[in-house]
Amino acid sequence: MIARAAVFAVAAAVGSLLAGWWALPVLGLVWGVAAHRRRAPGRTAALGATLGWAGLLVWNTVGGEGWRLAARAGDTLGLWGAPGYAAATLVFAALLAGCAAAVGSALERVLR
Amino acid sequence: MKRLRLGAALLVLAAVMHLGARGLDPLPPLGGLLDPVYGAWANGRLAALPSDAAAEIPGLEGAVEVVYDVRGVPHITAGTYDDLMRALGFVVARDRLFQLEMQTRFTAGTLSELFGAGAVDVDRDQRALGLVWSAEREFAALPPSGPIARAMAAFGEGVNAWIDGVDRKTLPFEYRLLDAWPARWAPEHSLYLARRMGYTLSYSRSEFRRRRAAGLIGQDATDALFGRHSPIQEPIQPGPRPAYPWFDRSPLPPPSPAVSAPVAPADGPRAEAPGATARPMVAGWFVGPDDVPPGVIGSNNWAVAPERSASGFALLAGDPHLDLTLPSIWYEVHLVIPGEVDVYGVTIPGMPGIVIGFTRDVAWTLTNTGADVLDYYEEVLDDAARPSRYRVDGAWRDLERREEVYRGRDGAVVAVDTMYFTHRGPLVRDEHVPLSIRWTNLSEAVPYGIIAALGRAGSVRDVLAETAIWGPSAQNILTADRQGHIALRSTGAFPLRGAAGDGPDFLDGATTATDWTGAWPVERYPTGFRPAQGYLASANQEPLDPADDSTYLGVEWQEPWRAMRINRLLRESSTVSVDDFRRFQTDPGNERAELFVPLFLAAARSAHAGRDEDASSLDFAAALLAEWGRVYAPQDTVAVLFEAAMDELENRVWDELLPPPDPERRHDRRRRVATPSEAVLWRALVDSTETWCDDRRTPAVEPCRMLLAQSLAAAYTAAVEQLGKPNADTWRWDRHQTANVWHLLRQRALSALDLPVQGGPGTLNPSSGSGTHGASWRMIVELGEELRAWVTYPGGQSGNPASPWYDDRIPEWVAGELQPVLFPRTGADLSEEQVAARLTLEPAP
Repeated sequence: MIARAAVFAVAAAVGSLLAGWWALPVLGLVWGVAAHRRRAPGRTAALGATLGWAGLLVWNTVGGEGWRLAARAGDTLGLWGAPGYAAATLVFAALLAGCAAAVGSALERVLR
Repeated sequence: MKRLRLGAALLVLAAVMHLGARGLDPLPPLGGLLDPVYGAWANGRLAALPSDAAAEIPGLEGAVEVVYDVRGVPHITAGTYDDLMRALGFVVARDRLFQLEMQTRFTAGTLSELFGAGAVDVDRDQRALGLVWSAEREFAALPPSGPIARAMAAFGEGVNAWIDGVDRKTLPFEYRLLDAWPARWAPEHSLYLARRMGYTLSYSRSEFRRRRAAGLIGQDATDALFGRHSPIQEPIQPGPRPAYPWFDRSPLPPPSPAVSAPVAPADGPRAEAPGATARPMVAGWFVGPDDVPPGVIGSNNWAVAPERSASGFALLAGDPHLDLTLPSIWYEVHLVIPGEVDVYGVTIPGMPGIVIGFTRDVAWTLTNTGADVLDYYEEVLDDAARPSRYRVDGAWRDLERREEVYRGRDGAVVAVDTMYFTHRGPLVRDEHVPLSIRWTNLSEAVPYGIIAALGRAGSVRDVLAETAIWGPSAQNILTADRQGHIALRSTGAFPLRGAAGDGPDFLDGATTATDWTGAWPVERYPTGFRPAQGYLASANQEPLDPADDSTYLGVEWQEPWRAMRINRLLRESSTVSVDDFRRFQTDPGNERAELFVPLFLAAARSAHAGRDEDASSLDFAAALLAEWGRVYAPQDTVAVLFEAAMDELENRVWDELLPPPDPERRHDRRRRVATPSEAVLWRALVDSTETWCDDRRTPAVEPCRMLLAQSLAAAYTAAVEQLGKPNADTWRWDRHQTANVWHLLRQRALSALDLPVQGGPGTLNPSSGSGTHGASWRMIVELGEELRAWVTYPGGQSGNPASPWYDDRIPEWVAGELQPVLFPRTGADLSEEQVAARLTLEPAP
């Protein structure tokens, strides 16, 4: 599962760089259809998306002022500063990819 | 089961995607915020400017070099003035795009298009001022090929070039919060901004305060309490008296017992302005009793001639006080056209040029004059509900109409109003009568031509020549040059009023005899040039001692305390240095305390001897005041008692200005209809007749010393109840008064709040009330062989909350420190260590 999540993480990062957050539901959907025979494709996609976006957050933080932004944005949105904002970001990624993968997997089964 | 699982997963996915794309009011779309590549995280990643960047601007005539120094200040070198303005527009938009739009929308009354229908009332208030009406008329009258129109057009081209390049990565954070996209900039938006500043600096409601006061205390008393001249004279221009400050101790007239209620218009009721349409326009504008008195916003400037300077060079200090906001109202910039323009200073984002600053040879700065440049005329309309004409000199004239359409976020119309205009200006309405406004801020040209000319000034004489008229709002322009000259002139478009129209009260609109007939000639402006005393200073006080010239210029002048303080500091120092100037800017001394504390102490001694008052509270309070250094440092523990005592004192002395009790609002605390200045309060206390200290409800005559003692004891008792016994913690001044620099969206996380500044009411670094006003730009210039300058402001160059330049100057501003500016001949002359980023602007193909 870890290896598959790592693969999804790379796909999620590259997809997000190219198309933004919309890449995650699309990738999740494809992943769900393709991996419907595997165990828990939704969880794998959610974990992978989290890892992929976590890498992007590190890129933002190391290469810029991402943490400063996160601190202000987190407080503005009532998310307890930078940690809350980063956590919300990762939960958002996990939900997008995980739910889409679950939909893809279920859809494949329904249509099969 | 499979279908159920599919349905559930679909439902959750749809909900999350909806949150990502559309948000859920009030939550903005999460995708634009949380996306680590194209969302708000990008604002963090791209917060620092790239070390080398290039961009294209349509219409640019040649390449423009922009070098950002390590303080984030762009040094712009262009070949033509139009290109300079294009580049200025571009860099300002790059750093302050959201601020540009917010300021414009606020003035234009189009906030509802950004925030929704809930902002319509704010928009109505703004449009009722006529600022946009005036700006559009001026814009239409400008020759398109003239220098002002070209500068504004070029500035707009630069702003729009940046806006056109904005994408999902570079969209400012605030737009993500609002789920909005930047609107394009129109050249006339620069005029909106100037009108808005004119409003901030010259809008006045003294007529309303005086009328309400006259209804309670009579006209004679009103003229004395809200008068044309300050009872404490420390005029801007050196006056004829042997010494200043000069104190007017003559008795005040008593309140008139005959008058008891607010008066109706002098000649009886008239037709009213249209209720259904006009009333909402003024909602919140005529705000009832005791609206904000003058004195909330002020400024300081001062200069010394070489003979009073430690370095032997003229020194100039500028210190305008305005709203404190993040991003700051100011943006620091250096503009160069080799051999033609070389000017450094601050612009207000949206203005095509530098407002306060210096060239290689001369520096200038501004304070607000506070002259009366706005009159209200009581008009007679043909029809109360649907007016079409107004009466002047026995004949009817047509009203000008203007439809005001308010739109929501989706562009749909959410409200429509009709505004009416007489030949004097916009028509508004108070409780009794339709009023039209004549105001220089609506009729006089904005000073953009002057600003452009100042960038080429080489001497004090040049500055004075270029600033002969500063139309929208009168300003005290202080200037100093490398030849050692200093000068200070109150300049504006001071109205010459018709024979029947001189004064600070409502004017009769039914006759043209009250109309303005012109403006003062420049030769009459209060002017000081190389004065014998060797220094000049202004702090919004009355420009001329009435013993010198009593021509009507205004009423309700700002308190004299800052003027007294800076004049004392300058008089006491035979020579001063740059560091002295820096310390003066945050000097904690308070002339108001110097004047009132002895009165409190004398009253306490007297009361104690006569056992007038609760001895213990009074003794404790008097002991504290007697030991007090009368300074407003953050750690001071007595200023809080003094302020409370002053509040108590005002309440006791000015009880005649409380409106009669309203049985229907008996639970509401009554508020004074108007409050005289503290300088007038001092005069009332030293008045030998003690007429204003007496409580007329009692047969006895209460002396002022009794009120002073009662106020001090009551303040102490209340302070102990609230804060405990005097101590170094809860009584600290910075526990009660701080500076607050709010973000434009009032978001706490984007603001700098509770800043422990040195200063309080009446100090040179004023801080009072909500702490949202204060020193917005501090500048000291030494006019030596090579001009040098030191500056700061409460904020930073960037409007991006993630940028290190967002609020980096606030710590030094709080501490009263300044930074030396880098003033190279061109950006190319900066060393590599001094350069933070470069930007090359090229003509778009």
